[in-house]
Amino acid sequence: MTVTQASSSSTQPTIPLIGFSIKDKPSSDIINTCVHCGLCLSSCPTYRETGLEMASPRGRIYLMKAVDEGRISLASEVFQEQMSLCLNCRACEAVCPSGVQYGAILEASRAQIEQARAGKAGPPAIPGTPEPKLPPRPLWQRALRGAVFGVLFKRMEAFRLFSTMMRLYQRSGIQWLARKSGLLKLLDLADTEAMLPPISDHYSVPRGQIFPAEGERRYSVALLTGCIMSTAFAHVHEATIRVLRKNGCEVILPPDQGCCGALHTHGGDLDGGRELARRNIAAFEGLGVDAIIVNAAGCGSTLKEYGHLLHDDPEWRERAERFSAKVKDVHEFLAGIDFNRSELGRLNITVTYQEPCHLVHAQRISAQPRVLLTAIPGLTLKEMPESALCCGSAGIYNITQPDMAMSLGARKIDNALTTGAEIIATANPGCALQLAGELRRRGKNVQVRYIIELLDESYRVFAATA
Amino acid sequence: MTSVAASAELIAELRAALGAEAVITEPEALLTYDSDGSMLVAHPPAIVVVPTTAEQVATAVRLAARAGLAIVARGAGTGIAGGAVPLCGGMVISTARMDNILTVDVRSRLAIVQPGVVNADLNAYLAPLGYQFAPDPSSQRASTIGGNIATNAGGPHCLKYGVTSNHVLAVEVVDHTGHRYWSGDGVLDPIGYDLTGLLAGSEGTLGVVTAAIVRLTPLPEAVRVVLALFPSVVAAAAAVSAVIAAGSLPTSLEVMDHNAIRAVNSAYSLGLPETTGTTALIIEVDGVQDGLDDQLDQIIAICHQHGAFDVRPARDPATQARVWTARKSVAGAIGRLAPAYYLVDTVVPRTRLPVMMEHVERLRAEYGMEVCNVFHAGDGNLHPLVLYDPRDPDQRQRAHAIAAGVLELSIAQGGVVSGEHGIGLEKCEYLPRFFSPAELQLHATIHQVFNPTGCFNPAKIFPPDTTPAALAAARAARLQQRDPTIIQNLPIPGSFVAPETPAAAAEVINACHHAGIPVVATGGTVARSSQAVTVSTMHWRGILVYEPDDLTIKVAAGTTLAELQAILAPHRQMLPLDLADPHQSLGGLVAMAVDGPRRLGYGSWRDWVLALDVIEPDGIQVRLGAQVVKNVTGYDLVKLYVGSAGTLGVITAVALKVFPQPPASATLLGQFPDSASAWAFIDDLATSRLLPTAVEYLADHHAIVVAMRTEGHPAAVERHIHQATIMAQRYAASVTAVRDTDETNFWHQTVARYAPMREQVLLRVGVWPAHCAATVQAITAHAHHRQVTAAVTAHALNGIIYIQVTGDFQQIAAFHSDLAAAFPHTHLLAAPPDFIPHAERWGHLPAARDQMRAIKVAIDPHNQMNPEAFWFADNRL
Repeated sequence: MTVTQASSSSTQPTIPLIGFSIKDKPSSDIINTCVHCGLCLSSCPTYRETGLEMASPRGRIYLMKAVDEGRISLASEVFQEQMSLCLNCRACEAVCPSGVQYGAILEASRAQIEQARAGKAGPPAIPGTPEPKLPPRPLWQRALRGAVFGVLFKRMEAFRLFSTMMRLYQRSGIQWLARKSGLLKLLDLADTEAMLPPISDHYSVPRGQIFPAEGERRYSVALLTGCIMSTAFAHVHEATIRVLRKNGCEVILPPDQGCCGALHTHGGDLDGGRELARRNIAAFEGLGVDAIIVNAAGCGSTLKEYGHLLHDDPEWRERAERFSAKVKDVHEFLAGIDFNRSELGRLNITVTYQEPCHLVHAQRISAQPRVLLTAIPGLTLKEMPESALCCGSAGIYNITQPDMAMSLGARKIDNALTTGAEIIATANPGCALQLAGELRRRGKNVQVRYIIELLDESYRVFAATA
Repeated sequence: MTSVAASAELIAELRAALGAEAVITEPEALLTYDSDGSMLVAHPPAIVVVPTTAEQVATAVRLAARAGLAIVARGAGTGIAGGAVPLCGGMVISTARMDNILTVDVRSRLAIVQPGVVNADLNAYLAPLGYQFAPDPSSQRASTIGGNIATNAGGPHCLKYGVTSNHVLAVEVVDHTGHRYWSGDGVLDPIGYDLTGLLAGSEGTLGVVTAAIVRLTPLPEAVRVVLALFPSVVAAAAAVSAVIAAGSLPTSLEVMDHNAIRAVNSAYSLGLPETTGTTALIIEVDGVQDGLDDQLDQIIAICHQHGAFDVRPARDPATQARVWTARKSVAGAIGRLAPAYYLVDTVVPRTRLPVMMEHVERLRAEYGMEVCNVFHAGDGNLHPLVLYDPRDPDQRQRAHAIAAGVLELSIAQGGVVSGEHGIGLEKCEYLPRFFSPAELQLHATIHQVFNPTGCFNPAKIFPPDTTPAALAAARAARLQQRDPTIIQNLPIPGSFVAPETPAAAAEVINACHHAGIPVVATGGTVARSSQAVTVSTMHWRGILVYEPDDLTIKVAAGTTLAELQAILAPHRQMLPLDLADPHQSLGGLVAMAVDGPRRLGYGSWRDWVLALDVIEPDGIQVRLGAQVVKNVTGYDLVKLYVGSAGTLGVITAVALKVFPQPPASATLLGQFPDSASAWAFIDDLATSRLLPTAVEYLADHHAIVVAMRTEGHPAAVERHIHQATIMAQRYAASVTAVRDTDETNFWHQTVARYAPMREQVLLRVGVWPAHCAATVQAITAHAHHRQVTAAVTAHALNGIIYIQVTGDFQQIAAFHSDLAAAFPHTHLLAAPPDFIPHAERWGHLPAARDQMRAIKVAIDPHNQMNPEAFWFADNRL
């Protein structure tokens, strides 16, 4: 038997092999924790959709390992494509028997690509190899990334201004005109535009407000208002505050807080994410609250990982860990404190629950949302198939990987519709937008609601009838 | 096989046929297909295709074969023996996109699936319907049905439910020319060889499976799991034997040692102590609610008696699920302890477990490595995982040495090279230590029948120092050597010989081989043929190997079923197959694979025979299988020989699984006013949570009766009788329950209804169980039309219908022709000598008759072994 390397000899890379740089290198230790068992495969949305090993967590880790060991190049299209195609939903992490911290190495791999594209990679991890450099992104992409990562999500005033403009667009009739005229189609923005939520007409601007507990004060908590949650979903914050107050919580909205940085860390801009993390830590750390409450799954998981994000920063590491330890998802918090069941009013509705990846996988919170939902009198919870499979939203994924985002969105809605539920409950803005967008495309009269909104409604029904 | 690159022309053709999306050629992408769940050897393929249909697979195989490429089928790549590693490059066919469940027929208890369906997904689909696909390998969350079939996967629950091949009814296969064929159609016991059984566990070396008909098993009404903690592995192993000896058969008996506990404890919140020595035994029982807690209490008491210091019942489904997820995650969780592991997979007779565990510990200490033990104790299936760092060559070496040491002792103790993971590329070198040269040659002969060009999964299973082609050629040459002049006493055609020993019989058969005289085997005392030499097994009787706690027995082939039951009875064990004539020899029963009513609860011969000793057509003695309950060492030739009607060799000894005698048994007899109400009752039974071991429909001109047998815990038996009585009375049945000798007598009379008798025509019709009622109705109508008297006896939930026909021979022949035209599986089992059938007595010949012929020709090239059997004598081979 003669065994030779099959096809690689004919397709030797023409550019020199580029490896990782030292800065923010995916940890070899984490990569080597993967024993290649493959139990992650069926949990991975992109593997389910494509059936390709390279589009599975095991395959991606294998590619990272190959770059790490200098066997394939950072410049490899397959490598870059696969790092981008990943939703970072972390379903694989939740099922990994060896506990591979996939999110960490994926984000680091993306950071490697972005650093090399920006010419900021620094010294290579493998001595003797060239400094990792990749061709820069096209100008429009750089401009977009700069606007989104550098301005919009870093400065809340800018974000609110943008939101106001979007609201004006929606309400003024320009939206109607743009839709009818075919302009959006022409600009290939129809799908993106359909995703936009109806923007709340008021915002939750954190200015240090303190909302007192109803009845006896049992806890003092601070709420992360975030970016999109404080504008498009301001009404969800209001509901959250009401629900927390009903549960004996004094709720504080600390000033100077901002976006959690999820989009930055997931998108490979780790430094941008760190900047936001430091700002939030500073804004919350002196308050002495019992918990920092988050009602958006993606923000919650990011806040809980500040400790990891700032691990190499001696000045901030411990502060970040202390901060992360206090962060509680709102469902996790309520289910953990013997929440107020006696003042829940009847809602005769059938609901199905779409599990946000960053709740179920990244934070392993799966039972608590269901505990809250099923506590509501009259509410019927009908489980959909694949409730924990990513809906395809995943931050800016809709824009970077529209095809995969679309097919996963369609799969999710197909699953949800099999239940016959009139409401899809969820707990994350990305999911809410994705689900609503797909429902709108299909002209389906099914609502998308946050769990906390339903809880709030139930309390209010009780109050109205009492 | 030499590695060949994929040419541009091949790539273009594949893209045209499968779509550009389905053809992968980038080197970095190919790299991700260079290994599977094993971390032994990696080699990238030259090309990967990801087809969606069986037709595309056939096209890909045809094109790859033409280009001389190796072809490796891959499911999820979770195997740990390297079975899916494209060692010689070539084409990987990934079934990942062939993930559709095509048909689910719960009433027939079967589903048709594409090979890429994930085991857990199929089960998630079936659960709301009240069914499961029982094989549950630890990889089931990701592994595919196709992969399960390729490795004949086991899992924790196969102690009670059996391995994959017990749950596969038929497969669709693409052969080496790109031709597709089905090994069966889902009807039980099709005529001819059990190709399905042979293909299961063949590790992708005999073709590519493109669809499968799988058996569905009712989900139990209730499940109890208990986790018992012992101070040592040996103490836990002793408790396992005690539980088995006490007569209850749990669904699983799983052991995790302290290292396995360490790997999964915190991740799955098990809260177990991790002190050295601590061993967890997971025991599960299932069934109807009634009596289950009592059964559990007995098991808990046994655990305490054997030194369990903590026994924790997992009562709620969530805790049970957590325990099982943890257990099934041990191998994958090793990453928490070490960067790699070498997983040894071997099965020994259960009573040898303590010896093996001591040996593993000795080896561990000798080589100074960490070993993590997690295993299917109930099956005697050890899984020591040797932890090592693959970057350290010395550690690699030591890990390998430990594995070799474990396997060597296992083989010496009657164990096998692989229980459920397969040989793959990992264990090829061990095969010559397990098989004799003739046995290896026999395996290679099968390989060459299905894979003559060697394109399918080359360099797997067979030892690296030779090729299947060479081994098969050696056997063929052996069988070509025929020289009557060297034989002293030439046998006489038509004679009857009853050799004292199998060795003496081998001499007779060798003489017949040289003389060109056919051989027919019998368990009886008279010659069966005037053309052939009849070799009788009548002198070979009794126990060869029996260790009751192993729940297996090996007996000489001349032993009768009645004698076997008498051997087992004092140990409160039995073989749960009831047959018309218990005085027939086991060799004959296995060769004919005659079934009985308890097939519903217990399966048939193919599910109970573990190993056979066989004399080859030229008189060489070979051993097929092993006397352990799980075995994927080489091809499952036992399945091929069960039901082969003596056409491949003469069976001299039979090793069987046996079963604890159930503590209670009863049969409900319902006499129904008409056929429709009887079948309505049977429908209700089928959809209830009851788990009868037999449901028989008996109809003749006197009465229509449904008999339901129930066996197990006394409370469970009473529950069955009570609930079925109410169900039957809804259809105005008059109901009685029979027990003890009345029950035994009733079943004796029932099985006698389909005993072949000289003066009567006996037919058998097989259909999918859902069509059983309509088929019986059609049979009755045809009988009426042809004015013959037909007594019908049907395994109502298995779709097997026996018909005793009396009347005018011409009319019976017309009736037979009617049935043969309507039902492909119409088999004339017996008829008086002067009855001349008008239709083919075998019914429609099987779709895979070409493959069957090829097997027969390859194994018995001179058609010497029982040449009159099947349709082979008709020269239509």
